[in-house]
Amino acid sequence: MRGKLSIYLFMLMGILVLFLSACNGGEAEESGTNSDSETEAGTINIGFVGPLSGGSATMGIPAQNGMELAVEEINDAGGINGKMIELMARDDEADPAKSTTIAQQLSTEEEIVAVLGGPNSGPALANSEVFAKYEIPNMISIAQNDNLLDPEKSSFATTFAMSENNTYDVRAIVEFMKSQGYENIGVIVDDSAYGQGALESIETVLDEEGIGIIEKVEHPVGAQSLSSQALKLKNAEGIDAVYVVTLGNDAALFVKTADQVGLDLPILGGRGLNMSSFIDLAGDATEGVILPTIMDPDKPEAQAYIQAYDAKYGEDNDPAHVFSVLGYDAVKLLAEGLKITEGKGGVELAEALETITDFETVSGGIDHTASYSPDKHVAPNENFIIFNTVKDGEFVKVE
Amino acid sequence: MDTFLQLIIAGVSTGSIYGLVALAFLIIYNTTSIVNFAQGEFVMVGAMMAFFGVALSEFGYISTFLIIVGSMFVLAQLFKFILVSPLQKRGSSIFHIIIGTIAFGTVLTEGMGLLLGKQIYGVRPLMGREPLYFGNLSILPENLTTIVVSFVLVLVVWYFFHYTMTGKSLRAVGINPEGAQVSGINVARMTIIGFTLSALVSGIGGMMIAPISGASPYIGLPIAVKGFAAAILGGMGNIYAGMIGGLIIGVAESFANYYISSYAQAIAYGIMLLMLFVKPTGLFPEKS
Amino acid sequence: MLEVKELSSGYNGVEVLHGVSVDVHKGEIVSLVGLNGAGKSTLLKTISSIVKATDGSIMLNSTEINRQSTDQLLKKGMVLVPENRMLFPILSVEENLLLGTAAKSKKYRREHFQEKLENVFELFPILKERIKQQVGTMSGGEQQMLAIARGLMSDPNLLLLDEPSLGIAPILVEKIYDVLTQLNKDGMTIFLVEQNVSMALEISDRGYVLDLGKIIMSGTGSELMSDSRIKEAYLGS
Ligand SMILES: Nc1ncnc2c1ncn2[C@@H]1O[C@H](COP(=O)(O)OP(=O)(O)OP(=O)(O)O)[C@@H](O)[C@H]1O
Ligand SMILES: [Mg+2]
Repeated sequence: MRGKLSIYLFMLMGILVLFLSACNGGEAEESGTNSDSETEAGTINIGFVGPLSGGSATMGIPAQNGMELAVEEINDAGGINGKMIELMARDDEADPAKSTTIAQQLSTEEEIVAVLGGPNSGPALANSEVFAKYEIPNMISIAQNDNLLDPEKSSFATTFAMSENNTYDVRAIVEFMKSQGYENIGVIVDDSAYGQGALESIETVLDEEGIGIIEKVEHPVGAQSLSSQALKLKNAEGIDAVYVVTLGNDAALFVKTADQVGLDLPILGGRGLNMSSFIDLAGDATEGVILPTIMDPDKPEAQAYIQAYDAKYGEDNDPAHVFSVLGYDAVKLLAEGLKITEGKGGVELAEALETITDFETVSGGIDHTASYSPDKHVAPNENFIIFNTVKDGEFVKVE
Repeated sequence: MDTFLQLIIAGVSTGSIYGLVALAFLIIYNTTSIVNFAQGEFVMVGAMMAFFGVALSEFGYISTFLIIVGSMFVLAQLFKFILVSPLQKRGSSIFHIIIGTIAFGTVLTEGMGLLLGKQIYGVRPLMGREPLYFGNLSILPENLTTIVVSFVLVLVVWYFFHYTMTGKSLRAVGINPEGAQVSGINVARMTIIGFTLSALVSGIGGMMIAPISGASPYIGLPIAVKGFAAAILGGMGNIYAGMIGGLIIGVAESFANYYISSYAQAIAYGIMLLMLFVKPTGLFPEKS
Repeated sequence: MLEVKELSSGYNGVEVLHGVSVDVHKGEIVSLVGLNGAGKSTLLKTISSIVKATDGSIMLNSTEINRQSTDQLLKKGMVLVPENRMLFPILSVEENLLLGTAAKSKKYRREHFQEKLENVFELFPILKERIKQQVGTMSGGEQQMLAIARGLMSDPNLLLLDEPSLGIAPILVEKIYDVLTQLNKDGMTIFLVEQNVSMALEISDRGYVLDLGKIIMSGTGSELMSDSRIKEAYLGS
């Protein structure tokens, strides 16, 4: 009898998993500043598809805030040719299937002139095909996978990115490694598209640059223990540093555990470490960790932005403002294109975006500007990344 | 050798979390036959309340513990009076109630997201952050607390079920509800006590994991899956065997992660499937 | 002591009892007989508040008890020894007996548990030998004794018994009936449901016949025993 029941139990668990994924793929929740489906005469609608709930909301919500801040500034300054911008934000829960459904719905039922993409590469890749089909310019704000923008694909024409990709980050990190004299490293990545995409870039770039990977380990997102991984890296001989490409809470567990098992090596991270949960969870163990960031506190624009953002939203899980600022700059770039087309979207807007050069952004280092061209659809120039470290529980710039 | 022992320590710490979830799950199953698919969300509520108390309100752990106890108590009442009782009154079968628990869990996740936010939040640990060393071996204080608390809770629950009248009555309800009723046991009251006990164990479990892996409204399902696997491995009919099941899965994962990393994720599911085929009653079935 | 008036009840909207009236006076043994499916168990369950009455009234010692819960009724001195015994097979004899006092206070357990235990061991000495044994491993007859003993642990004065002879060796049935007459002599009122009609009516002061949810006949034990219709339907002659 009990045996039978456990089989039922197992079947029910299967049903549960199906049920939850069905929910994810199903309805499109609305949130954000505007849920009006009617386009008023005087407004320009811009969509945003990103994770406003779930583990990645830690990036999606600050991104949305940054976008709203930019929209507010643009509208206060008179909008685009007198028309106000409205942001239509949709939660895709970082689920590619759900993201595709939302893309379809936004493309066909709402009059959006352009759309902003979120932090997750999986959904961004999936929904960009849909937006491309309807010729809606798509500005991916945070996601970094190397193959988001593929000149071979027809979707390339209308797809743009605010941020640089994984390989760009890895190259920057490798420069840093070389400056420190590291010859061999260990790598830990999570098993999501983010970690796996990064791992591919890391393997390629390090191979080119002649830095060895002695050991690479993986872990599931939201791990309860990373001892095995830390021990494996500790027991690997000849590692000079460990490169951690996971999100804040997992990275926190890793640095704590590394400390505990006596893995006393310099730790370098990916952009995903820029979360307050990283410091909150791991405390002192985060001290000295090196991570790439895109906000230079010495830049006056950045200072002004941080002030404005914190005044409006208070402290959040994005203490280095890396995720929010990408949302902000992505909107500013789109607006620059819209000024050229006088508010029109479609291919016209995509072509207008391709003419933008040396646009001043809040993100990036002192000399950073954004430019597009017909074959360059990522905005940053070579001065995008700067490095932060953790000192006394705060992210500070590495000089 | 040190690595081997260190892997065992790691396995025991995660395993005790799985075991704690299994314990909470088996308390409800063995007293009411309800398979509570919202068990992971119960743990999540504990974790989010830990975030609310320790991080958001800076209350300290004692007050936070009291907040968690209070919330879990309320949660158990909601579970009973919003989900279970209305369905029972309508004469629904146990399977309807079980499906209902899934919906209940979803509501908890969404509700908690609206209440406290949908991101992942860090919570500082109870006993400081300095690793503890025993010779060449080490452990994080939050892992040690988890192990100790889990074992103490199993003992407390065991004592309760075997040495108190309420506990024995609760077991009786699980064995034969109508028999319990004719014996003079107030079955409705026992059910709510069972839910409350399970919720408390879950809540404390949530409080334990919040400083380890963070709190978010979405941590329920993954942790529940591990808890269910532990319960099936130990034996669904034996409330305490889930802890042993949890430890086995924890240690197996720990070794698999070290030696065969890419398959480690399948360990819990693999063990659970194997058990269902080979010995569906689990390793330690309650003798009957 | 127990007055049931025009009682109706059933399961999931299907009525099983249609206006049943039964009286049990203090000190009596009253039997209820009837064919399989007549509704005998349903009547006992409705009286004990396991099944809810849809109509009619149940009075215990002149107070209406329709809306009371089973445990409250145990506190008032009425206990049901149910069909199929409903014991806790994985628990010991002692634990089963302890659970029989669940409706009572802590104080009652502290002051009277040992005494009650000795009382039931006197009636059923075999249980004393088996005190630590797991109930599931005992014979049907032993389990029936335990079921009655568990009922007695709450110190009732009205015992509702549902087919105590079901599936038990005749020698043990006799033993159980001896105990019932003994209990009755010591003041226990007993309402007995039986299929073993001759045996039940023999020890009863009065009896009722239930058929398809209605009382179709009542009278003293000997009146019913000599009724030709009873003989035909239940005594197989
Ligand atoms: N739990 C239940 N749910 C639905 N119907 C039930 C239930 N219990 C009994 N019944 C139905 O109620 C009617 C009366 O059953 P009951 O058990 O009261 O009869 P009985 O006289 O005790 O029979 P027996 O001599 O076989 O014990 C039957 O038709 C039976 O099918
Ligand atoms: Mg019957």
